[in-house]
Amino acid sequence: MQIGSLPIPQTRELQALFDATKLATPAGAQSPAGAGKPAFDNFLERAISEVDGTMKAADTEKTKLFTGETNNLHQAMIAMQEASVAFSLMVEVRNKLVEGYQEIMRMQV
Amino acid sequence: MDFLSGIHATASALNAEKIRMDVVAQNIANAHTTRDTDGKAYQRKVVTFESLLGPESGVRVAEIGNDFTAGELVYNPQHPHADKDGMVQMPNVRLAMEMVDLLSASRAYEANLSVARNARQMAAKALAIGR
Repeated sequence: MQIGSLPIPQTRELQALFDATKLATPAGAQSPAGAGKPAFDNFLERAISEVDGTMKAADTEKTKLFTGETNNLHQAMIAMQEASVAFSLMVEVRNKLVEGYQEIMRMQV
Repeated sequence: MDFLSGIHATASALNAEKIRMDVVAQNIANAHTTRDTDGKAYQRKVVTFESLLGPESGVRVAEIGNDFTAGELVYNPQHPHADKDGMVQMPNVRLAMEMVDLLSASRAYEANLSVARNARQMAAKALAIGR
């Protein structure tokens, strides 16, 4: 990318930004976990499995209630609420991701 | 991850209030029981709570104890459980008091439910930041 060669004043800042990002990701860091930092996809995977965990917990509570193992209606409801909030959070994160992707796709080149 | 903060304490409180309600039901059901398992008149049960600290914060039922105050002595010679003077030892359950307990347990349950509802609403509002 030859941003620095363009004669527009703002591009100097862009170039600086570009250099900064190049510095932040060392050339050797091809693998996501290369720099010892948790990669974003790892983080995402963990978050999704956590959401899945809350949904499974809600499911067990529901099964326990229906099979008569417990009669704690509130426990099941709370577990379901928790799963619902976790799922909404996941959907919200996914919306943001897609929004960011579309923003980049709309970029004028 | 704790998506709904404080929800575990609320859940334990709901559990405790439910047990309290069960005990009140047991007391009302036995308001006229003149022969308990120990052969005496029924003694009303009282729930005591204790708080939990640390990561598992909240409340739990410490014990379900007996109220040892004496019940009414009623003259009723026809009663099978009457003594030689015709007196019957009635349980120490007073229905008015039990109703008050029932109401208080029900209101406490509602209060905890509204905590749960508010925790959910707060999470929903926080999720609406991005919109």
